[in-house]
Formats: sequence, C-alpha cells, structure tokens
Amino acid sequence: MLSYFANPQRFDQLARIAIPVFGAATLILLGAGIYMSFFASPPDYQQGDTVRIMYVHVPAAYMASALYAALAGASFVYFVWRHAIADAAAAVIAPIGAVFTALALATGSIWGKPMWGTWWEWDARMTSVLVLFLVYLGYMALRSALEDAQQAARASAILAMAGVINLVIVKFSVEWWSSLHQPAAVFRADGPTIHSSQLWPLGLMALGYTMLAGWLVFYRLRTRAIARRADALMRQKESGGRK
Amino acid sequence: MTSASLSRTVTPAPKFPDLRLSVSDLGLSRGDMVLARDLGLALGPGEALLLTGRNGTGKTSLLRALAGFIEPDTGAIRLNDEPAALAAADTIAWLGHADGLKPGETPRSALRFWADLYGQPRTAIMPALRALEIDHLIDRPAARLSRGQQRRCGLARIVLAHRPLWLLDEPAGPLDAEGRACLAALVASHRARGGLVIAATHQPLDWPDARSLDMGAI
Amino acid sequence: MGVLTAIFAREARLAWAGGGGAAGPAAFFLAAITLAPLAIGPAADLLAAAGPGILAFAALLSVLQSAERLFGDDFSDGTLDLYLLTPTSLAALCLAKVMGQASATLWPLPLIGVLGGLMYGLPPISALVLGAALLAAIPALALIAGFAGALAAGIKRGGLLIALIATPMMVPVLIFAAGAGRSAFAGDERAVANLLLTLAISLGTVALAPFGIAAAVRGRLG
Repeated sequence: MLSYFANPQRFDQLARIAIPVFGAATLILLGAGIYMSFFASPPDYQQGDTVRIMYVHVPAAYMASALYAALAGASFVYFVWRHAIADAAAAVIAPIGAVFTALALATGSIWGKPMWGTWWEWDARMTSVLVLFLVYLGYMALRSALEDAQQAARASAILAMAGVINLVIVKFSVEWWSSLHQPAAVFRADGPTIHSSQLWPLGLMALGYTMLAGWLVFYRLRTRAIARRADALMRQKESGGRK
Repeated sequence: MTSASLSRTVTPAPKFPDLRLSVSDLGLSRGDMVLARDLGLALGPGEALLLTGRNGTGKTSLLRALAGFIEPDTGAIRLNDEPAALAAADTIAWLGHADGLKPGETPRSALRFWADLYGQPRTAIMPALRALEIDHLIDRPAARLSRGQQRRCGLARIVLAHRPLWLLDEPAGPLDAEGRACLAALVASHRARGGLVIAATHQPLDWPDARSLDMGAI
Repeated sequence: MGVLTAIFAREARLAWAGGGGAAGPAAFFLAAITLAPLAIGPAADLLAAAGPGILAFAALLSVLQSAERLFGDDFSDGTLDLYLLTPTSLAALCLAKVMGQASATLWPLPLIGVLGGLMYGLPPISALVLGAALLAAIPALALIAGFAGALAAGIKRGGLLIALIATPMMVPVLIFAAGAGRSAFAGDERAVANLLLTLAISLGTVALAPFGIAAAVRGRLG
C-alpha cells in the first residue's frame, strides 16, 4: 500500500481526497467537541469548571505521543524501504507534533494552577512531556542542520527511531524519580474517576484533534510536493534560458 | 635517487586473485543533481581507469558509490559477481580527499594502527614508506608534514592495505613531480600484480594504457 | 594487536596527545561544582541535599563538552570512510573508539565526584556511592554523546546541536546516578537499587548504542 502511494501522482490523487475529508471531519468533530466540552457537559463535582481544561489538554497530550509514534513509524519505513514519501511524512509530522506537545504543556500548566496551586509541577507526566518536547526540538534541529537531503533523511530517521527506545526508558525512569518524593495529595484527573458525562466531550475532542493532525499532515505534504515541483520547474527554466 | 627507489618498489610480490569490477545501469544523483544515468563499466585484473571532468561532475560521488558509501539510485555494482557492498571490506583500498592523519600522530604510529586494522604485518610499514620516499619522515608529527608528504603517507597506507582494488580520489593533487613518479611506479607495480586502480583526477596522469571516463560527458 | 584493542589504544593515545586527555572535562567539572554553591548560597543543609544532583548534572555537562570532537575529527579527515572499509563490524569499531576516548578523558569524573560530594557536606559513604554511580554512568553518557556526535558529525558549530540531541537521552542515567547519591544521603534503602539501575542503563546502552552509532556514521557518509 505504501509503495503504491510512493508514486507522486498517486499520492497527489490521495491527497486531493484526503485533505477535504480530514478538513470536514475536523470541523465537525472539533465543533461538536468544543460545544460538548464548554456548554453541554456538567462541571466536575470536585474541580468545577476547571475540568473543562482537561478537554483541550488530554487530547493534546495524546496527540503529542501519537504523532511521535507516527514520526518514528514513518522513519522506520524510510530507513528500511527508502520510500521518499515516508521521509517527507516524517519531516512534516515533526513540527506538528512539536506544536501539539507545546499545547499539551501550556494547557497542562494552565490546568495546574487551579489544581496544584502552581503553574508548573514536576510530576512524572508533565516532565515526560517536556522531555518529549526536547526530543522533537532535537529532531527538527538535526534535520535543518544537515544540508544534503539524503543525509538529513537518514540521520533524522535514525534519531527518531532511537527516540522511541529513549522515551520508553524516560517514562519509566521519570516515574521512578517522582516516586522518590511523594508530592502533596493531588487530584487524579484521569483513571477511574472520569465520569461518563466527561467521556463524550473527551472522546470527540480526541477524534477532532486526530483529524486535525491528519489534515495538517496531508496539507503540508501536498504543499511540500508542490514546492518541490515549482523548484524543479524553476531550475528547468533557468537552464533552458542559458541554452 | 628516483631510479634507485623505483627499482625498490618493484619487488616481486604475489599476484592478487583475479578480480573483476562490473557496473551496470548505474544511476547516481545528489539531491536534485543527476550525476550519472545508465552508466556501465567493466574493469579486469591489471586495468586502470581515470575519472576525469570538471569540478562538480560527480567524480568523487562515483568513487564513493563504488566504495559502497553512497547507495546508487539504480543499477548494480559487482565485484566478481558479488554485490560490491559485501565484498568491499577486504577488497578496496580507499584514498579520500583527506589522508586520515591526526596532527599529533607520526607516520609510524598511524601506519602501525592501519597495519593492525588491515591485518597486515608491521614489517610491511617500512617498505611502504620507502616506496614513497618518506621513510626518513617516519617519526615526524603529521602537523609538521607538508600536504604532499601527508599525501605520500596516505599512499603508503594504500600500499600497506594490500587490497586488489584501489580507489583514489585526486591521488596526485598535492604531489610534486617526484611524488607523481612514485605514484605512477606504485600503480604500475600494483597493476602488474593483477590489481585494479580507479582514480578521480582533474590533472592528466600519465599512466600507460589507462582508460579514462569523462564524467562531464555522461 | 587485535583490531578493537588497536582502536581503543589509538583513541586513548590521541585523546592524551591532541586533546589534553582528561584535563578538559576534569577542569570543566571542577569549575561547574565550584560555581554552583556560589549561585545557591552557602547553607550547608541545602548544599548537601542538592549536592548529588549538582554533581551528576555537572558530570553530564563535562561529557557533552568533548562530544563534538569524538566523531567530528574522524568525519572531516576521512578516517570514518576508512573504518567502513575494514572487515571488522562498524558497531564494534565505534564501541571501541568511544570507550577508548572515554577511558582517557573521563576517568577523573568519579574521583572529583567523591571529592565534590565531601565538599558539599555529604557523609563519606554517600560521596562514595555517588562516585560509584558516576563511574557506572560513564559508559552510557559517553556512548549517548557519541551517538549524538556521530549524527551531527561535520556540522559547523555542532556542539549545541549535539547537546540538544543528547540531553533527552541522558535523562534516565542522570535520574539514577543522582538518585543513588540522593538516596544514600537520605539513608534511603533505594541507593543500591539506583546504583544497579544506573549500571543497567549503561549496559543496555553498551548493547544498543554501537548499532545506532554505526547506522549514524553510515548515514552521514552516504
């Protein structure tokens, strides 16, 4: 399937369908999700209206990890089969993932103020997400520092794959680290305490975020392909003009 | 002095087992630049090939593809009908644009290291240095060697490596006339033993019966 | 001499001859642990509590300080090309190379770590545990720095990039090595567990990182 769409024309056809589909799904799901989150769901019996921050925060945190998984998957496909489209996908996913990670950090911090009384709490989850953000930054920095496109593709694919192993160990070690000192009692915003009335907006928002990410990825992939073609045409014109 | 050293380089050495390099339908590009398309090459024992052409025509890239550093877009590079990438490690002696010498290192310590790495006896170091007429510099740190002397040290490593296929990137670049004569003698004796030589060069090299391939023309 | 021994010995020798050997990282480490109390303040209890963390963190920075040279020089002078054309596995060569350089340049870190621990007011046993943890952490730190260094080899002013790539990967080692010192100071029974986890991370890195480094080297040369 991947090698089928590795062909630029076929990819273009796919993108022509995928972009409006993802776009429409994003608008519908995010619209419904936002309405449910802010108006049609009851306030939490403990957190009150603050709980509504959860509906923008938790899906962002989920997208941060999901997009990293997609980045690593695309890198693996490129590394093994050398499909240029997989490398392009990785290049496009990284900044989108970084933005979702930054969103997760920012909303987490805004949520932390009413919940913990501080803008930032060094708890295991927040710290892991912060490390994930650094991983995204390192990936993008390496990619932009290497000028040869092939070298950039290979080196960053290796880094993205190594990042998976790293992030798993980081998650474990950060949990161990935060268990060394027990913080004061903290609301557990997740886990079994979630009420079914909160599940709907959360699910809708998570799906909406996913569609948004898909939309952005396809949109940027197509833009990238068009920019490439424009470059090539430009060069052709220049060399033709010289003759 | 030159003639005496020449007679020393042509010491009878065992022949290499027959080696054939064949390249078929090779396509090579860097970024958006296409350097070669449908390139075919065949080289047998004792043959030499000069890659010529202006800067940026892909001489070094082709050489790096032959060494297996770069993956070609299309086509195959084979050594005795085996994919080159598999056979390269004990077949190819590589001389890049830099000589891999560390500033604080002397030719003696560098070549000892490379002898160990190539699995060659350390007794082969002195003859290799003598063949390039730098045996008197054996204990001088590389930082105080001229570019030409460093190049000769790099060529001594090629001799030491004892591999049938030499891939040389601008071997004569910094060499003086005497150095080029040493190089020509080395190449001749290597070919006489059944070795293959491919060199990328922008200056004409007077190697008898060497074929040449103009990279700018393909 | 075996191939790997030869590489190990050459890297150690070159680090001594060309790069001042252990002097650079040791001096950097010393400077960092001298400055930290000046920033934090001289309160003895605060320094003793923060000491293991500061020392482990400063050790991490000292390792990063020499990471750019590890593969950068070999990349630009063509040595890596030559390593690719030897029958020995590139991963093994890279492991020997990184370990050779680490053994020549990083050996004072655990010693200075013990000394620094005492200066920060840790009990001798805690300082020794911290020193042991730093010793156990060195292979992991060096190999991670090597991996980042190989990815960024030959990039101008790559030091910052290397630090950015390597720091997230050094998080676990830092947690366990500093944790060993902190637990020992707090009289926590988890000191040994932290020490063992540091060792485990190092062993895991020794097993995996060379393949990553080799892939990075291949990718950068291609």
